Amino acid sequence: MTLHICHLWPDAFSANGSAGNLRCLSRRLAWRGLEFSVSELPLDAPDEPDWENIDLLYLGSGPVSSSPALRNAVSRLTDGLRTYIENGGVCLAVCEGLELMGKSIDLHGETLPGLGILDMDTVYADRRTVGDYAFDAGEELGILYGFSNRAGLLRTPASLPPLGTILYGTGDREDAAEGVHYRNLYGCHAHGPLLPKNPVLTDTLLLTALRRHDPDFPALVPLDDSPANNARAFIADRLQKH
Amino acid sequence: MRLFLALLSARLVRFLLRVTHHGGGTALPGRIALSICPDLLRRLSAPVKTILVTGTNGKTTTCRMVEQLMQEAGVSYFANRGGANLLQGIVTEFAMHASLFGRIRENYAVIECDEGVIPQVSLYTDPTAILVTNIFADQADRFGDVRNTLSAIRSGLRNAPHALVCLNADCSLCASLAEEAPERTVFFGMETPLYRRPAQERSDAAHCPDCGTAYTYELRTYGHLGDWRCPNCGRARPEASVAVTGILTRDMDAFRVTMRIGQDSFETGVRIPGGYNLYNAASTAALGLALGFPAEAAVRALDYFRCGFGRMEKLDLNGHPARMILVKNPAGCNQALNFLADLDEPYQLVLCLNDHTGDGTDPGWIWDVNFETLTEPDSRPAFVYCSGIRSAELALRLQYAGFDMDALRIEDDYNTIIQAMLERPEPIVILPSYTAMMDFRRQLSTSFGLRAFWE
Repeated sequence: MTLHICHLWPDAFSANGSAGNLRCLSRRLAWRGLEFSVSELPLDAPDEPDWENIDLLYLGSGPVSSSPALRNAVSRLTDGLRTYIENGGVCLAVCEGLELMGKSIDLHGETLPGLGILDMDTVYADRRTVGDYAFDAGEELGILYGFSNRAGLLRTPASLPPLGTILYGTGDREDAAEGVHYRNLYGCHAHGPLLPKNPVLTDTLLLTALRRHDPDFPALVPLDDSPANNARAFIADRLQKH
Repeated sequence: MRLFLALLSARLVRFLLRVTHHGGGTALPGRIALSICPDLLRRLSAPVKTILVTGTNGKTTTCRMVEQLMQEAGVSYFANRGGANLLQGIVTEFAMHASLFGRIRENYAVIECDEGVIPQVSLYTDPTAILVTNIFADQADRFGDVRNTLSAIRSGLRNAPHALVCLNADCSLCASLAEEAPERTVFFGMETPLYRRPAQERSDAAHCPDCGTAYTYELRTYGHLGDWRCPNCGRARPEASVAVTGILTRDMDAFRVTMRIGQDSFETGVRIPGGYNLYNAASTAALGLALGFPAEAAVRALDYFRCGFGRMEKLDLNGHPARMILVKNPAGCNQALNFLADLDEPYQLVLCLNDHTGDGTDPGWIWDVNFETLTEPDSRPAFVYCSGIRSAELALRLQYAGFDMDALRIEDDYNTIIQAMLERPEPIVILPSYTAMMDFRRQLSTSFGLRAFWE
């Protein structure tokens, strides 16, 4: 069995270190000897991807503007992507990638329509929120560490569950929580390397995707995560001191 | 009177800072002087021909080359060395070269200018020339994204109605600035590949801003630089008046290249390794052409200049060769790695990552660096040290790049690293972020007596 990862719009949304997330997914599969493929869907791809054959979708970070190329790409994918998510397709969307999953993004007065998968809107603040932060993503995922560097603030109804509650730093939602967890879509505003620093989240994404193929897929083999644990310990220590 | 008081206090403050060993005193004197006389920079710079060098990467190296150009052309100049390239640091430099009555003897000022402050500096100094090296994604916590950098430099050009403008033709972002000064622009670029083994790198400008189509390339040197063209609307790389047309030889220390300067072709040495530095060489020759200096002055300058502070800087650690290459953003760091991958001999590597304001507080950029370049059998370092405040994050990045974790150590004490490296035979390469470089130099100067940085 081959796990098919699709990198959505890599030419526009793999900035700010967010390519590290994709690298992390594929490395952890390779280290375990699991078969996988990574396909890229560029912004100007004329056709929809083959949704039936995507197991894990990734949309990263990059500058959003109301360019015709982005508007066209958004309207081209809306329906197919909604079906994919509603059917339980696994998806990670970070930073602007998460913002695009909502209904709209207000870029200082100019409004960019989003993919409309999530019942939320993004408003851009004048000041960026910058710094290490940590949030509690529940029993299964534990504490997630990241670096926030964002202008966007998510305006969500309370019914849209967050990915976690903030422990240190500032959440990306108006209700002060962080991110979104809707069906198998995971999203937050951790800039850059969210997954390498949070191997439990990475393996949850991978295992969820693998078990959609084969519900009996065995638990993943543990890897040497001491470098990740060092990096987490450093951030935890620093956040506690402040 | 205000001018006099401002200049007097600037000197006094600098003197006090230095005798009390509070560093180089590069910003505070300027801040104090400005508070006494707000139009100080305008008044001091009025009779001086100011050259502003800005852009994301290569500013410092280019300034050192331009200094050599000034010497070869036989004109008098001063320059802001030591990396103080914000408004206050620039004011300090002018103040220190002025008499207490505000007179400056030098004809030219060679000023490295941060992209964020170019609008102001340009407004106050009415520059004779502005050179833009390139525009890449940099310190996202400060600049947001490349569009902000681009628009800051654009307003800098608008504030400089008389300036000659030297632009990188191979950088589509940079080249778009020519709209601000079509009659006053000189382009420089490459007409030859820069590396034997070019890495796959992310592009910071993949699409045409007019129509959103992906650019195509006849030649791609690195990042988004090269002979770009939009296949849809025809927007394309402008013709370059100065270009490196061929690389004849290259080694650990220098290049020999052929270069077109205006109508003529020259063969010249460029006394700094690293393919990306050929852009800095071409930009210096373009500035010389714009200023009307003889092309021979530029050729001699490139052959004679000495590597600047942390820019491919050669160090001698008790007979053990070392090089220090400052890395600040993905594009610059990728070029340092391309240089390492092209080396024929084994080497030891130290990576030092801090996250102070001077480094960029967001360390995520190391995930945009192609460290995978150094995992091939013939390019991998003999041993790697990860150091600096974010050493753990560096080690994590290298694990995912596929480095051999048995030949890697996290060590936060620079002296321990230096002593351990001297035990091994291979030459040492140090890749620090900005404030990590300062810390590392302090250790080197304690251990080996290297010069203090502001000299």
